[in-house]
Amino acid sequence: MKATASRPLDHDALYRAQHGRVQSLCRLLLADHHEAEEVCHEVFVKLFEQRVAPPAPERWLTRVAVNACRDRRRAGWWRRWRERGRELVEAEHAARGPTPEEAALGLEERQRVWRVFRRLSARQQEVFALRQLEGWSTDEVAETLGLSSGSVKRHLFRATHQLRAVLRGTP
Amino acid sequence: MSRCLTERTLMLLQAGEGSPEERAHLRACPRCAARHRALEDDLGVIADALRAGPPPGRAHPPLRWRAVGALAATVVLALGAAWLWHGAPVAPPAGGGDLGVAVEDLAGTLFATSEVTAAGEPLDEAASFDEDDELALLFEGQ
Repeated sequence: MKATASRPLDHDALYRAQHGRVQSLCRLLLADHHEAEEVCHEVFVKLFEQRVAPPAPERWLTRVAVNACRDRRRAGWWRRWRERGRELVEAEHAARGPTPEEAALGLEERQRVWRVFRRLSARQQEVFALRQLEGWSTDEVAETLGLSSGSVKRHLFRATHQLRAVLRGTP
Repeated sequence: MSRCLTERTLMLLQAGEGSPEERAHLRACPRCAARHRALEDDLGVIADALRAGPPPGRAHPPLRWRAVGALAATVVLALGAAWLWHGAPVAPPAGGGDLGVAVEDLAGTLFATSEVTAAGEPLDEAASFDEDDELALLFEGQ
């Protein structure tokens, strides 16, 4: 009996539960607040188009978000370059105060970590985000990204090695 | 297991993997345990930095350099094309009169193509004669 296949989708509940997580993931993979919001919106529009719940909605959302971010990176690099100053200007006028995480971290260290993270390959970024930040297992990451477990471990090792190197001043 | 663990093995153990022997070594070896704690601390700092979001204004330095590279390559290609198109015929080639022969060949080929097309041959041949073919013929005699 496949009860989950015909289960109606509670869009609102899923949106409330998953929107923040998906938006953080998009922001991580795109490094741009505005684009992350746009892609996150696209992801939930796709979810709303689903009439029945996918077998695992959280993983479905993550897979769609990762693919959408990858498409956006391939297609829009010139636009991001053209609008590169916008983020700085808006950040200067932002009203929100620093979060505890931001307060604890030096801005310079955060910049160095992000700079190295942006230099990782798209796959390494995706693997690191899902494995270390989302807390997925190696097998879950492998299945979602269509990789073998060995490839996931390799990507994770290289990403971690490079990110640690910048913390220790040996990039 | 007496040898200390590699960095890769430590990362696997941190991810909840690794063999029972490696885990036993980690418990028994103070040096590897310290390295493991340092790895966890570093990953915590990295995760906090990434969760805090990209720092303002410096999100895409590699993209900027890529764009500058693309612009430079475009300029070089444009200059090269301009030199080929305008500069090459002015500069006398080493072969002396070869350029004249090449131009005659080019004109003859163009003329012949028109005739063939007019005579009802398939248009593909005329259509396939593009600027690249013209350039190739121009430099064939040099």
